Amino acid sequence: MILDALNISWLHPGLVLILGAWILPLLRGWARRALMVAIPAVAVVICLGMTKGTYGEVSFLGLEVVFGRVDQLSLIFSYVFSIMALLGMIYALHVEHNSQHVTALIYAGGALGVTFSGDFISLYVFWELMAISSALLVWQSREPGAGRAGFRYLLVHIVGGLILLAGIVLYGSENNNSFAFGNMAALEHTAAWWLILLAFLINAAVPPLGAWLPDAYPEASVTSAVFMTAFTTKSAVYVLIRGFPGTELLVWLGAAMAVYGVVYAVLENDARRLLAYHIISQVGYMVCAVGIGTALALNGAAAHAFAHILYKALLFMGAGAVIQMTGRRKLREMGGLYKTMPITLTLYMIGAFAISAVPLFSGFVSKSMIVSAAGEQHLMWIFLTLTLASAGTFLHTGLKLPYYMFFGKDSGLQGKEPPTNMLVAMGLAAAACVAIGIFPSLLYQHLPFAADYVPYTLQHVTSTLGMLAFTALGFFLLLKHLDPEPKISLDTDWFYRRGSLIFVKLFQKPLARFESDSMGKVCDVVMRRFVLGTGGLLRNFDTHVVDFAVVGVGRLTQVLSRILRTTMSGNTQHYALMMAAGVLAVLTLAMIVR
Amino acid sequence: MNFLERQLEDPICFARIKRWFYISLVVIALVEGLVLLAPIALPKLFPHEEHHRFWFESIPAFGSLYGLVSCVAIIVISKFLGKVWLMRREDHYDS
Amino acid sequence: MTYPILTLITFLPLVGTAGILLFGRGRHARWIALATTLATLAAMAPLCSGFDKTKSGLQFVDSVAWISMGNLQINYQLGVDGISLPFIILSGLLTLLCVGASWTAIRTRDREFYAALLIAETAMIGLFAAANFFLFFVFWELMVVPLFLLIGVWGGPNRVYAAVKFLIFTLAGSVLMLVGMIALQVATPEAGLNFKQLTGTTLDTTLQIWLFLAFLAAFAVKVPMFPVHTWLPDAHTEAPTAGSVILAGILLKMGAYGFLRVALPVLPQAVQIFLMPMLIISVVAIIYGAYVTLAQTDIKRLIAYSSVSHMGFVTLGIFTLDQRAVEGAILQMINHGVISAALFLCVGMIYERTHTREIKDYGGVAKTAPRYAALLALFCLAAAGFPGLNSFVGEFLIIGGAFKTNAWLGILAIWGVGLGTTYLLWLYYRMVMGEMNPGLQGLKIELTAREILTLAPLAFLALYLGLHPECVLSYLHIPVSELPNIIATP
Repeated sequence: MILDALNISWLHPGLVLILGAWILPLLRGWARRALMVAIPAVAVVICLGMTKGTYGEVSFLGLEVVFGRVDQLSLIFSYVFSIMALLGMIYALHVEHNSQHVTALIYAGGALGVTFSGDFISLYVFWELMAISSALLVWQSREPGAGRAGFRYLLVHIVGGLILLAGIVLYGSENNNSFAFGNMAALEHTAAWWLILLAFLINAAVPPLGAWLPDAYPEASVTSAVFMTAFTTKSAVYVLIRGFPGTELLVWLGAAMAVYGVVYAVLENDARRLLAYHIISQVGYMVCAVGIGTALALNGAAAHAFAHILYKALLFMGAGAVIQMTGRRKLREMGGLYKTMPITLTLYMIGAFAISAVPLFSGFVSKSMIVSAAGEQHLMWIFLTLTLASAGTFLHTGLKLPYYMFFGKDSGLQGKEPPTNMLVAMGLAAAACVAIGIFPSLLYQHLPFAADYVPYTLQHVTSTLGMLAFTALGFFLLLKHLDPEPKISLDTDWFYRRGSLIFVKLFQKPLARFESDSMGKVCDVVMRRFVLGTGGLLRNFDTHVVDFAVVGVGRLTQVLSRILRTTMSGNTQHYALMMAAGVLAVLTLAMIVR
Repeated sequence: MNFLERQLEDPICFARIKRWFYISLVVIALVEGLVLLAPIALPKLFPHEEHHRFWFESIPAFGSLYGLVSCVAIIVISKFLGKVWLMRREDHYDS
Repeated sequence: MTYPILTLITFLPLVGTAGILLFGRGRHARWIALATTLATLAAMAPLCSGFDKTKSGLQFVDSVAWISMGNLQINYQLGVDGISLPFIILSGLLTLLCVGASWTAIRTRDREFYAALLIAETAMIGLFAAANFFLFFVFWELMVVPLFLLIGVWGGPNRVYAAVKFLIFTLAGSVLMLVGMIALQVATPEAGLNFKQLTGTTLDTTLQIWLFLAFLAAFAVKVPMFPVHTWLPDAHTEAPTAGSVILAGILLKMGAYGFLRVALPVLPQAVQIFLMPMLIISVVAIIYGAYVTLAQTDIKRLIAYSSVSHMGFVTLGIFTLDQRAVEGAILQMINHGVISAALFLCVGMIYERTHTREIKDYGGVAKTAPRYAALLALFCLAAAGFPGLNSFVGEFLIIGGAFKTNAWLGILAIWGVGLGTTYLLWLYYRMVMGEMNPGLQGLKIELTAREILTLAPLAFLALYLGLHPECVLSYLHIPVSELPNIIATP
């Protein structure tokens, strides 16, 4: 209505977030807080009120750039991204540092930009925006490991961005300079296809490329981590649904991912790292569903992404609340908090039930679609693997984490309920999880394909309940073996953290000189040894060989001129001698030549 | 939360909770098994049932069984992997 | 245009120089310089508005018969086409900003400083406006002297070494260029060394090869291409801020401009022969330059080496001979001029306060100087090729052309982009983020209004060129398409 009056046909909600973020530092006090909530709220309203179509078409360098491709798939993702931005800002209302809010809003805006982009150029712009803003989010944390972790995160995403750029350029040249973003099946198995897929998989944290996720997420601040869980991986899922539905490779990758996350989570001691591995596990379901490619599967992927954002945020909010109020992040050091933080516990458990796909919660209605889709396609091992991962998910998120955080042996920690804004945000997310669980049509009506799936069948419900109950049995029986240990687990980031060290030991000796203190404090092993090692080597080469060669010519000239100068002794007899010698030499030369 | 505290700390209450837990396990397993037969017995009441695609879905209480097996398998295998290979000291990467 | 506008613009700075030498006592010199550069920039406005983008050939031509002896006929000819116009405007802008940046930094012998700066401006504008090779050479040589003085007199601790090195490198190349120019005149006496007329003639291939090598010596040193780049880090580092800005912003572009003006149109067969080696050297410059940049500990040296890497992109784009890539390369020259000028200005400003260029003496600047941090972030992101800012467009076009020529070139170019992003963001992180370095305590680092005013046009350009690159590219379509052997876009 207002937009019609202003003659703008469409307002990009991502732009609202990105530009609105910059107004925040100009305000103070309650006005600032009101704006913090208002900006994402405006974005939510815009998303909910959008009509389908194509908007924001711009011609850039003679190429078609589409900023507003609005169809059912992008709409459903935009709903959840904008709602997530709102919840995250409510959760972070108590934080005084504006830089975090600005960065977080830009990050969310970038995700919305990716969702609505209709071509690769705008996609790339917002992709890079997301990478840089999320790296900044990690860097703004006070944690001691944040600097290095942020740097590793940034490196991984830069490499991913470059791979994407290479893929896009190749795609354009193969496609007659059209950069439209849609189903990539026509180009299957070409170099461009592989490169773009690879870049998407990096952002989706598919192993072995996903080690950046559990590395960086626990280092971000409590409020920033909530934002980070939602946007990078889910926008990657969105672009996979858009571009690579039905790619068989994804089925196997997704199933492996689902189990991988669960296996690593068993070994985890850090609360948020455990949850981070679960992100990998759940995204595995989505990736697998994209690979299956049927309408039901793709619906399931979208639905699961929607539900996942909400309940994962809730889980991170809950764990974050505990970490903030107790100052501890390792599970070994927590326990007995149910007495002092019951509301947090309840809200957390709602999230845990949602992720475990307990009936009456959102996870149940979304995950079942994926598993049923696998069943429909007669993929037996996939079906079994996904179900196994479900059991594992409940085991960690619903049993192990709350047991060690809230119950278990009393650690004597004095917790308090977190500030109200955090509880409100958690409450809203929890309400959404329950609402979708009880009224699945709320979600189903927005799915990209027509969905006539019924999750609440008697058999399904009882089977799920059985699986969960007996998982709990297994948990209590093996409780003694599950005590978290004060150790870390190796992941594929070993390759670029340690493996390169061995490779570079060869270059070590000549470079030992220029390792200074400050580099050691802030920079990462990769930078210092591997990349910098090459840099230093080449720098020394440059100074001592290349430059030296050229300057050497100059020095030689100097030496020569010095030698020649000695002939200028000022003594006339010497000059006469030299002249005579010169003439003799010329005559001899002339006679020889003749 | 005094109610919860009482339930967990007091050994008698706790024992009662454990008992209810085991009872509910049995109930769930039974219901699961019965549900397999229901569509055959009362087709009108349960129109939405999915027909079985895999052989194991015909096993009664498969969900419960698989849940227990999965849980144990995950814990055992992961711990094994951890002990043998993956777990290192916390300061492994700091050098 | 009834008055000789190009001659006016070219020689107006010399009028300013005279003014400074006559009236520049006390601190008046900088005011006269400011007025002159503003006037020169303002005088360029009719060039933009009156330029016809659809016409090929030179516009605003001033032509006067000059030297004629026997069959040697060389005229004084100035003219602009779509390729030279952006550079002329950039020269005017950067010189103005240099005056702004040196306002408080230069305290000794400021009369001579501003005089040298203005002479340099004349040389820059004259070079881009030159319509024949003779004038081109004259202004090329003229450029060396004021810069030698700028580096050698007002520079850092190692300035004499750096200035002499710069002088010798440049002159070595120029000598060969002179020889080539004379050979060219002998081979085509009727052309009078006029670029337009030379483009028409076909020279013997062997002659072309020798000429190309002669000119390559001069241009390669200026660009600079690997391995004759080693004068650049010393010169950039030791020069005062204004010197670095001029060096990085304009001087380097003169070398690449030389390729575009002289080598490509006049020596097409030689270019075809040397194509692959030039492409390979360009890629080597990109990667090698980036790696060496990573290992630097001095901020100015770091930015200087990054110029080697960025100019590698430019020469890569030029020698793909693909229309879009060449346009991208020219655009990238403008972009790099804007961005490296901005980065050197930022470094110069903070150096004025801290008197150290070592990265390890910095850290946590964001806490006390948020505006500086924000502007530096903008420029670092722009230099890194962040989409939406200016360098992205140039790099995108160049990489597209590189892939079309040879997939490996494209891959290596992209690798270079990645390294570039890494070293810039890492520099930013070490300088601006993290904990405040104790050595910086108590210093007033935040920018003054004058400094923000100096950086503002560059920040604006970084955004504007990134979002609307057509404003520059539209000038380039016709002249680039007329270069021989250009592969046009379908």
